[in-house]
Formats: sequence, structure tokens, C-alpha cells
Amino acid sequence: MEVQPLLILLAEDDDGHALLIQRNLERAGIANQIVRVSNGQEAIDFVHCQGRHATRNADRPLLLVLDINMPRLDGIEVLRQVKADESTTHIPVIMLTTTDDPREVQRCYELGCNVYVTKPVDYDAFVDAVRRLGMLLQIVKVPI
Amino acid sequence: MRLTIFKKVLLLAALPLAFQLAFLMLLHQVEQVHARAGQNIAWSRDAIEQGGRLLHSAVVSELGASGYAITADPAFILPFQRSANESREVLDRLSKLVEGGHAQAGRAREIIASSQRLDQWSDEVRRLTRAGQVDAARRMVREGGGKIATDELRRHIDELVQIETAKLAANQATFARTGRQMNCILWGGGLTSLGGTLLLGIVLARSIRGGMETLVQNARALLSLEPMIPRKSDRNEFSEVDQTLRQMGQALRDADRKQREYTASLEREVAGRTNQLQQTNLALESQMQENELFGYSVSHDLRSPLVNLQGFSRELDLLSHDVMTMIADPRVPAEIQARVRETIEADMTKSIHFIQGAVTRLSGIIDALLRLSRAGRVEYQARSVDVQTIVTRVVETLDGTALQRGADISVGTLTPAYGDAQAIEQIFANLIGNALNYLDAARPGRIEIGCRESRVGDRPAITYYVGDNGKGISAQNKAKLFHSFKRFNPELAPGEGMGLLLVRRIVERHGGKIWIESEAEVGTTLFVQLPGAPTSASEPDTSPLIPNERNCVHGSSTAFDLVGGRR
Repeated sequence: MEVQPLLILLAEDDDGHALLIQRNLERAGIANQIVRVSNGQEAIDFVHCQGRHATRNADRPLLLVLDINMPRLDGIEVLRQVKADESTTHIPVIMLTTTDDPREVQRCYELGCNVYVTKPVDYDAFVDAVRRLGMLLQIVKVPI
Repeated sequence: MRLTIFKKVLLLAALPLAFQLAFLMLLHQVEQVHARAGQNIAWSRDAIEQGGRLLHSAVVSELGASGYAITADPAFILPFQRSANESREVLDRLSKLVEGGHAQAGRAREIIASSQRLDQWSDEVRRLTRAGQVDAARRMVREGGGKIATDELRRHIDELVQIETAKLAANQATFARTGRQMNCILWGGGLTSLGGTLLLGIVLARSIRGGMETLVQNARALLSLEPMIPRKSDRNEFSEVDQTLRQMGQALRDADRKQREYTASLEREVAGRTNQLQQTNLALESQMQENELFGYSVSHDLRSPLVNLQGFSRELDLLSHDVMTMIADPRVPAEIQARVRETIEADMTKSIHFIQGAVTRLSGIIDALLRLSRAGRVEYQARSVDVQTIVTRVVETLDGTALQRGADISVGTLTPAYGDAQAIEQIFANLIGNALNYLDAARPGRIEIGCRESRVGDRPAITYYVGDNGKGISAQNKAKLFHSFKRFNPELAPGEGMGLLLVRRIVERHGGKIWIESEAEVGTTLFVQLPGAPTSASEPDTSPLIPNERNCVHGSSTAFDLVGGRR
């Protein structure tokens, strides 16, 4: 069976942040395809191949990078739904957000997020964080 | 028996007296009978004797007169004259009896009459004889007038003697009986009054002792405000004192109850006020937490655009480098190369740096705000904290800075405080850091850390101090010291001016105090008072808005470290 390349789904409502994340992931050498959606509902639709994303290739392994503060469904709700559904619970989820409120962090880990990353304001730290994310993506083993 | 003690004592004294009086009266009566009997005995004896004497005189008188008439011998007259004197004496007594109306007065009158008749006869005989009429005298003797009178007299006297003898016997019996009676009365009276006095004395003593015991016990009960012995039905002086004691006890209990009520109402009032105060404190605390929460969410909302600002200014920086690389192409005319390079290096880079500087500063302020809000919301784990170890650790981490500034830090013996270890470490990190940052370069820096123990109310409190010989703070700046974003010497050290505000917030949440003593150009000492032991009042505010923060992983680096990333 052919190993399909990992698809990164970036759910981020801030266009600037999305652009910065994509660019820096590329600079960090992540060549995987990145699909960006700007709200939680669209992320859920993508995961379940429904709505606008009904025609996407359902066989490709996914990795979710979720912001928390998003319209319609927030990142935590997306995380909860993905981890609560047996068919999607295996999908690795990275929370990447400006919120470093320990309550939120705690909640995300309780809901089953794999990694929680705070977006630092300091640009170097931000780049560093995205670079680490890239390295993380390289070592994450996704079940096929 | 409802008798007062006074009445009892009176009874004790009066009853034997009354007995004695009764006995005396009885004795008096008996004694009168006794005396009368004695008198009667004496009188009867006298009467019998006098009767004998009178009869004897009469016989002598009759015989003398007869003898004188017959013999005409005056020698017969002599005994007669003697007995005549005696009989006159006896007759005088009898006359008195007659005059006194005695029981034997009638008989006495007859005796006197008989005696007078005999005397008349005997006088007549003697006169006739003396006158020489012997025959006439002898005839009178023979006629037996004298003998008849004498016999008559004898018969009367015999009757008298007989009666008096009988009376004598009766009186003697009475005399003996009354004598015995008097003896009995004397003995009986004495013994009765003695016995009565003893009996009453015992009864009185017993009743006094009982009353006294009740009184003493009730007095003790009064002293301890305990219930008193139930009242007895007696009504005496003791019961009056007892009654007074009871009234006193009642009054005391009333006063005690009133005092309790007053105390209770006072306590209620204090509790009410305390409650109000606590409510106000809670409201203030919740207001503060709301403010902090507001600050927290605002800071987060500000972060998002900052990430863009920073990110894209950096992008611009990178892009300008790309442009520089592109411009370096020899195909680009040298004049354009120079202009573009100048524009990028001089204007663009400078602009970008201004933007980045502003963003960095803004970001620092937001982070400080976040730290402050977290200081107000983090859950404290209160326990005894080894401040000595904490301060030693803080000083070690600041060793490099101290060395760089040529400062000498001395740490005294530090008593453990009661509170949250991490929060207390933050306090000392800030205070010692500040002391280091604001030393005066003109003289060798000295920083001294120590503590002294005191008490606040009933709980121990430790006052720690961090003193330096640095630049000091002027009086007008002191008041602003604990305000947000106040920095007096921004050129000396980086920072957002939030450190002391943070320290104050932590100290306040521990129920402690912070104050400063400082003189410009001399030095500054910061005092922090923290509780030394847990009490309900000093229990640090452990109410969390965020549960279990300590157990959370937060911050990007920690999260990445989990999967083995490296910087």
C-alpha cells in the first residue's frame, strides 16, 4: 500500500498569522501540503469530507494545527469533536494559539490535544516555535 | 414549726422559768398548808397544856379554900395564891381566843365562866374564914359548890383537850404530807426545768445548724451562680437571710444574663460588621479579579495583532534583504543599486526597527500585565516555606549580575514564612533584582537581606527586609512606587515598571504588608511582612480562578520539550 504524504490542515482565522505560519513552516523545510481554513466549522467539514470539502481525497493522513479563537466553532470545540469521534480520534492535533491561559492549556490536554504551542509575540521566538513545529511534524509517525 | 430564732431563744429562756414559777406557786400553796398545820399543832399542844394547868390551879384553889375553911390555917392559902396567878394567865389567853372568834371560843367562854364561878366560891369561903365566920365557911364547903364548879370546869377542859388532841393528830398528818409534797415539788421542778432547757437547747441548736448549713451552701452557690437549695418551709431569721441571698442570687443571675445578652448582641454586631467587611473585601477582591481578568483578556486580544506586527515587520526585514540580494545583480544599473540600497538601509530598516522596538515594548507591557493578572489568580499552596533556601537560590541566580556590578550581597538568618513557595520566591527575585539594578555606580554596592519576628494580633508575623546603599528614592516618588508602569530610572535597567506592583499583589494575597524606607542617594530598604503561621485570618487567599495551574504545561518551550525539540 502506498504511503500517502501527510496533509496539514491549518485552521486560523487571522490571515496574517496563517501566512506567517505557512511561510515559516516552508522556511523550516516542511514541504507537506498545507490547507488553510479560517473557521472551526470548515475544519470539521474538511476532516469529515463534507460541505465544501466533500470531494477531497479521504485517504490522505491528516494533521491538524488549530487556533483557539475562531468564529463559528472555536479550536477547542474542533479538538473535542475530533477526539470524541472514534473515526477521527487518531488524527494528531497541535494547538497553536496566542492564548497561554493555563486553564485553556489544561483543557486542551484533557481533551486529547497532542501538543500545545503558544504563539510568542517575539518574532524570533515565533519562528523558533514554527521551526520546532516543523521538526515535530517530521518525527510524528502517522498511522496509515 | 414556724418559729423565729428569737422566739426560739425566748422560749428556751421562758419555758423553764414558767415551769419554775408554776412549781413555786404550787410550793407556796403547799407550804402555806404546811405552816398552818404546824401552827395548829403548836396551838393544840398549848391548849392541852394550858387546860391541864388550869385544871390543876382549879383543883389547888378548891382544895386550898376547903382546907383553909376547915383548919383556918393560912398555910392552905399559899399554893392557892400561886395557882391563882397561873390560872389568870391562862384565862387571859382564853379571853383572847374568845375575842378572836376561834372555833373553840364557845368552849373557852364556858371554861372562863366555870373558872369565875369557882373563883367566886373560893373567894367567898376565904372571906368568911378570915372574918371568923368559920361555920358559914364550912357550911359552904359541905354544900360542895366548889366541887361542882371544879367538876364543871374539868368536864369542859376534858372536852377541849379531847377535841384538840384529835385536831393535833390530823394536823400532824397534814404537816408530814405537805412536807413530803414540798420535797417532791422541789425535785420535780428542778429536774423538769433542767430537762426542758436541755431539750429546747438541742432543738434550737439543730435548727440553727440546719439553717446555717443551708445559708453557707446557698452563699457558695451564689458565688458560683449555681442553682440554690430549694427553700424550706421554715420562717425564721435564717429564712430571711436565705431569702435575701436568693434575691441577691436572682439579681446576680439577672445581671449575668443581661451581661451575656449584651455581650451576645455586641458579638452579633461585631459579627455583622465583620461580615459586612468580609462582604466588602470579597466584593473588592472579586472586583480586582475582574479587573485582572479584564487585563488578561485584553492582553490576549492585543497579542494577536502584535504577532502580525512583529511577524510582518520581520518579513519586511527579510524581504528587504532579498531585495538587496536582487539589486546586487550586475544587470541592475549602479545608480539604481545605490538608490535602492540607500532607501532600504537608511529609511526602511530604520522604520522597521522603530516598529519592532515599539512592538517589543508593547509586548513586554502585555506580558507584565499577564504576569500581574496571573499573580492575582494563581492558586496558592500555603505551607511553611523555607525562605532561607529560596533567598539563597535567588542570590545564586543573580550572582552574575552582582559580580558585574561589583555588589556584595549578605544574607542573614531567615525565619520560615507561611505561604506559597513560588510566590515568595517571586517576591525576593523582584526585590533583590531591583536592589541590584538601582545601585549607585559611585560606591561599592552592598545589599543586605534579613528578617525580624513580630506578632500581628495573635499570630506570628515575619518582617523580611532587603536593604541597599543604592540611588534611593525621593520622598515624592515613594508614593508612586507601587503603581503600574512607574519607572524612575529607566536607563538603568530594562523593565515594564510592574515588578513592585506584582510584589505588592503577592504580599497582599498572603495577608501581609509591604512598605519602603528610602533616602535619595543613601539607599533603600524594602520591608515585606508575611504570616509566620497559618491561622484563619492569615490563611493566604487560595481561592483560584484557575484550578491546578501548577499541574499545567504552558508556554511554547515546555510544550515542545515534551516531544524532544531543541532550540
